[in-house]
Amino acid sequence: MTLISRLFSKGTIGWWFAGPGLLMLIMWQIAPILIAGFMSVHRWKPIRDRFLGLEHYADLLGEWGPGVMFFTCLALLIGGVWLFNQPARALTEGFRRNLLGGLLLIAAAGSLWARNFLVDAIARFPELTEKREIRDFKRATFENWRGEESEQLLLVGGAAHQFLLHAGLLVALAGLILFLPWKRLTRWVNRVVGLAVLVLACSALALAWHRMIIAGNEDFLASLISTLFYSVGVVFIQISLGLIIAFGLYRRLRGDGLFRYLIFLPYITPAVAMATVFSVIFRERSSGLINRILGQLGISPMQWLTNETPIMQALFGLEWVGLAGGPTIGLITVMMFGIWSYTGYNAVILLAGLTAVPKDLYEAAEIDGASRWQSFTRITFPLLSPVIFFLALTGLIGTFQAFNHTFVMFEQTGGRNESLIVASIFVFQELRSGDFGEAAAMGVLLFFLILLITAAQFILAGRRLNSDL
Amino acid sequence: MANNEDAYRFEAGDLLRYAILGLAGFLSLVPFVYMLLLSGMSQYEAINASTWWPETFLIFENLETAWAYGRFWLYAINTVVVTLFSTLGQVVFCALAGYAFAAISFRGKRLSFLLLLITLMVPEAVLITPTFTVIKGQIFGISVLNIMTLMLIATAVTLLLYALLSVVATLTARQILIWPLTFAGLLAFMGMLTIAGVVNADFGTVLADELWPPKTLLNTYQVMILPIIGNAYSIFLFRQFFIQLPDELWQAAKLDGANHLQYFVRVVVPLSVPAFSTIGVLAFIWSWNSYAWPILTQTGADPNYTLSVGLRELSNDYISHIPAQMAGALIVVLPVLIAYSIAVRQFTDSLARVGIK
Repeated sequence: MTLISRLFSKGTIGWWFAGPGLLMLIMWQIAPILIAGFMSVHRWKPIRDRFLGLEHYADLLGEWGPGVMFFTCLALLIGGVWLFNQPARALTEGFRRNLLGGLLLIAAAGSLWARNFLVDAIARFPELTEKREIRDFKRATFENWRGEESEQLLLVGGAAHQFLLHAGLLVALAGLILFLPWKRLTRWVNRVVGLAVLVLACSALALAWHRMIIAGNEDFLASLISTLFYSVGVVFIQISLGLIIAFGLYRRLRGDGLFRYLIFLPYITPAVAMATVFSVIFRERSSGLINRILGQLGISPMQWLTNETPIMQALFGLEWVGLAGGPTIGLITVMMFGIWSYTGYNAVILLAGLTAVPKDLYEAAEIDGASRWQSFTRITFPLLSPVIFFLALTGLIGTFQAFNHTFVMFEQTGGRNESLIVASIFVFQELRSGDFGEAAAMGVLLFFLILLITAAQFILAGRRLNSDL
Repeated sequence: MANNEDAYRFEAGDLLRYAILGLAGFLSLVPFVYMLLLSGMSQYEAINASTWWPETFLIFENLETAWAYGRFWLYAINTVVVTLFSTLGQVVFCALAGYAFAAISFRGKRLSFLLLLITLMVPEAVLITPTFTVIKGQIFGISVLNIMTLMLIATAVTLLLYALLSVVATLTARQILIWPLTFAGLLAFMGMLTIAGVVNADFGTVLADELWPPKTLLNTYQVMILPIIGNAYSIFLFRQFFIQLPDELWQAAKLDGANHLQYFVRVVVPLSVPAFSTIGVLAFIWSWNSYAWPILTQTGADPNYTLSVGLRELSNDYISHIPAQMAGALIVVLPVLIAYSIAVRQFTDSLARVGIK
């Protein structure tokens, strides 16, 4: 009897309620992360084989240096912005420590930069390789080279990144000289160090990325770029459009129930089915809906989903590749589906945020002679920012794992448009090809990226939030 | 409630609002209308760049093509089984967990809630590889999962019986022995399954394969159900709902001698119908939409695909037959549309209420 009464006592009853649900969560969502970590350090094709260490990660990210540097620089970037945003007085006590730390970081990034500069120099001036030390360095560095193409990439990328780096350093230097109140340096040290860290982290990030593309798994990194374009584009646009629609729904109108029904409809419909419909709407024949509408306007039919032209090239004729070229038109078509299906959800949540803003604030602002726009930027937007933050956070996480519609549309192109391969599709394909270890390593890397992004959002937005989210 | 604020008066800005809403509503609707139109066309009309409207509306012919070709009968049954059980399981267990997080204080509550929030951030691409290895039985024995399934079924059945008997007791205003009857019901349920399995050997084999597959979970139903029962988002939503119930209710129930389970079944559940219908519909949609996981885990010669995957097969084989594809899409969309239309009012309201919290 005592056992039973102890099992169901006041302290344990919560576990009986939460237990089954939590157990399922731990079993299927927490434990797999650990298992993924375990799998990623083994050769696992498709059953467990020998211990590999961190070889999978090295395969994916190229060498060690750039991979570690990449993640460190992301963290540094966040730290830089955070430092920059600190109020002037908050950190002055430890200002020596800050300065020292900042200088150390600068030194670290600088040494990386110097190393990369050397690499680029070798690629550009082959005659330098006559010297023995440099030849050895080159051999050690370019073990993973894949022929002509990456050689060209190295040249182009190296030039671009050095331009970025120099421009960034120049701007920072000019800023230091022109705008720094030298006499009150102690009060501005956060800003200065923050800015310096920011600039250096940016340039080191670019360099690390450039090295990773040369030595690592190019396709995987390309899929990360696609994912980045997709996530940022979709989240930004769907929140903006959602805000506009929420403004439309804010006042009770006649028939707003119908509008609400219609606007929320895309969110709940099965993505697989609607993605099929979308690929028919955007098909490349002249009979596709979009191409027919374009035809009515006198524009000749064009490819949509199968189109691999980057947007910068399509719009301005600039033949940039990779990050600079922007998303391809095919990817933009997929993004349109994402925006179509999630804007309604964003609108409904934003509407709830809008109605929670106290009305007397607007009345007070009106009495004080504020314009509509002023009351939007000074009242609505600040009070809405926790909701926007929530939507951006969940939206980024959600778009990072967008699979269903992307995969359907990718298959509708016959698997030809590789710019549609976002990270989740890449992992799925790797898994189906039987290399479980590598797929697990990709998953773990994705998880770290998401953690970093989430941390960044919390750190960067945290100061402006008046909510305990 | 009919005071002056609620009465509608036209304002100049309303024109703009109507324009925005009209455009947004129109754009939301276009793909559906286009899908309907195309699924009524013949193939010739669908690929002809000058027809906007089908001459004769062939929607039933196309539905039949899709249904017959895509083996949609089988897929429909699979989908119903998977959706029903995963929705039921998710609602029951997530509601309980949500209640625990909202109303009960227990050791490790903060830590497990943190765990919950972390789970919200884990992308599916991370989970898919290790989960696939688990269900293939490479990490630990499948019997662990089988025992878990049986325990979950037993718990769910017990709780549902308990809730049912409580409702009966409330409605008839009679004291009945709820717990003994619940356990008797559970035993009867198990006995019935056993007898049915013994009498009908086919059913027995299916049941045994399903509930206790010896080596791997590939090609079973439970592989599509188990991983989506525990859902952090649902638990979180339920918690947000339950946390809004006034504490006085619980104090009053406690004075009357109720324990947490009685309070939950008799007070919390009836007061939270919007929450249950919202999360029920959400769980229904999530399960209905699952796509990568069925493709991955149904690998045999006779795979138990769901409707969404059936649509994929239809698209792959009928790559250019647009009306059949659209009819297939219609079949997949329609049930969700109906579920949404029923729950629409509670749906948007309750999602909005959670979002601002």
